[in-house]
Amino acid sequence: MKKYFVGFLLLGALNSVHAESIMRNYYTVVSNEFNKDVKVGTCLLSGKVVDMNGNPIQSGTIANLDRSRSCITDAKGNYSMVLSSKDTAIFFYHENYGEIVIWKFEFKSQHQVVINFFSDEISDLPIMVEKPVIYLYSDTETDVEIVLNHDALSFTYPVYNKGWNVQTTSAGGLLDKSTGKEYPYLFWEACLTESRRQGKSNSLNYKSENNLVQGFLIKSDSTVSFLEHSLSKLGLNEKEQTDFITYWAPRMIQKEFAFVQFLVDEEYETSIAGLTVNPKPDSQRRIYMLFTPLEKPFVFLEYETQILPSFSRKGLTLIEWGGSELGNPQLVP
Amino acid sequence: MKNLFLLSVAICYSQLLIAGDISVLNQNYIIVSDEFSSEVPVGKCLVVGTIQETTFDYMTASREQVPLAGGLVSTLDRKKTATSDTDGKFKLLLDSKDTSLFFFKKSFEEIVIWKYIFKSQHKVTINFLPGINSAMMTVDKPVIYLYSDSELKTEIQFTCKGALTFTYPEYNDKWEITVNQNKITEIKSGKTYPYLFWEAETNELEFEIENQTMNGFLIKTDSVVVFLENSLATLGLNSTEQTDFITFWAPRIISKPYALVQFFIDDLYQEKISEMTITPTPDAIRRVFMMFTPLESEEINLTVLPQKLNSFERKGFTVVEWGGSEISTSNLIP
Repeated sequence: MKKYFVGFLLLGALNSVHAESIMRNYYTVVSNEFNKDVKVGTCLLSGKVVDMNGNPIQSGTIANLDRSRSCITDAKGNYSMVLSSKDTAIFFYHENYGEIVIWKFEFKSQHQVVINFFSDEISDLPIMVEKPVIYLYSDTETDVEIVLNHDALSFTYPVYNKGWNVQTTSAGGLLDKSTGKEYPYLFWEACLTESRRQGKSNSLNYKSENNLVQGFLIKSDSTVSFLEHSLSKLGLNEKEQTDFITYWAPRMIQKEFAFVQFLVDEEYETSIAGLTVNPKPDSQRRIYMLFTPLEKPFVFLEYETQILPSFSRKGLTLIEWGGSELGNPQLVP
Repeated sequence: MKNLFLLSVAICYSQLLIAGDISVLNQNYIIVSDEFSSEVPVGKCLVVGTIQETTFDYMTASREQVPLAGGLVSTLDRKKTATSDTDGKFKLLLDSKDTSLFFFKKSFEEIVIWKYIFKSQHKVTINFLPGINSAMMTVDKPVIYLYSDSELKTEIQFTCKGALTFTYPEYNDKWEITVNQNKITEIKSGKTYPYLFWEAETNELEFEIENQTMNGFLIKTDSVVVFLENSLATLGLNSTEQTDFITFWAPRIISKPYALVQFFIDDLYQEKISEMTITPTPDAIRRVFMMFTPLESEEINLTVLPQKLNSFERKGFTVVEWGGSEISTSNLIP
């Protein structure tokens, strides 16, 4: 019995835990035995996928990481497939359920392995559009009106009343006409819903084209240099970079890895919030960062390194940055 | 993450609710029954019940309730207290004048039952279902601004409570910088920064409370911006510092209708949060740390006296630091 329980050992230690720290998606290796009927060089894998209430999950995908071998769960949640004994990792994926990855598993030749998956349904979680701050710069004192096209503002500073009416100051600050006070930037925050179902209104997720996403998979111990480099490229000055990095970096280093995508300019406009500025700035840069802390350097989506557009400041310049932490970077594979 | 967290709790309680025919006043406790009993003396009310923690079995993917021993059940004034036994059971004789009861156990969430009428000669059965309370708090975002009219080479060292989780620019035993006007230049890299940043995790933070009295503020959070602007202006923060402070903290404070706030200023900051040495010694220094707890209700078992905030005058080489920490309500029940 003991040797079948490799997968269990870890779980066994967690066997009885507080409800709040419930691991929502996990697997158990039920058995792993020699079977002479299985061809040399292959491994027969089967099992069942159920939700956290024990109900079968139908139409889920079980596949190896390059998806060269995959199968779909039936109405009873059962699946069965033949792997190569060279395969070392498999995953479970379903649009509506949490994904599960099994890493570094030895699928031995002529073995029959039974692995059950337990996966929890994904809900559309509310997510915060966090801390967009807007800086405005001008060589001459200029009156500017800024209107945000967003109807679920949760906090603004200074108070937003159908718009902000400000005057740029020589020191790079903003004089708010309604309060008569000077501020270094304008601040707003809002609430959206995270949904992996694409095209849902008021929802936010990684942008993809033909199931291909532009982004970065980073080791979180390089977060600071990654951000400094990316934000410089995108045209943020040292003050703006510091504001950005001190806000986001502590959150991005929570896990060993992170997936990051920047929504820049038009994508910011369409995905986060439209902005009407009067007079129109001579140069404008808006940067929104989506990120997900990850335990493992693996995302379900296919991605390529994002190319960041450069930016040069001139005349009346508007800079805005914000971001959101997303729970699920995964798109339909 | 927090959202997920709440969701899983909500799910397990909703399952519980289906299980029994019980009246539910709140999700983390259940009034199982409230009945007349001739055995209870007049003017008294007997409260019995079980404290259970929810555990999860990974082999069967099932949740179950297990008894929690050593939990404190008490009236708010702590005149009547009981502790749960190994079966999680407790028994407590209250006066029928009592109106509130709380559960407390370290590392679990505290549960307060407000305004319950404990009727004379009644026996009430209440089950508590506390969730776990993660004890770590973050010393969030202390930022240090430095100002000098002429270029000044400066060295800063500090030791904080708990463990540093993030610094920017990177802190290696010290920051070596030059200060000119409001700009900070790190000598090593030559890069400029508007402020120095550090963050830490600790489990040692508590409000300063003496004899159930605290110098602080109980505020309605819809007025938090005005409250902070006034307080911070009094404390001598300039508009950039105020804006940085308010845009960081106000969105968190408004999560509930009320909040308890206490500032640790200067010496208390040095003693409770971080001991800082700056060479040369600043001509003026102001350090402001805000402790706060968002609250559902303004009824708390504390007398809150308005904290005196003294002003501050900038001169010469000036250093301003601010930070804060959200304190869980369990720290209000020491």
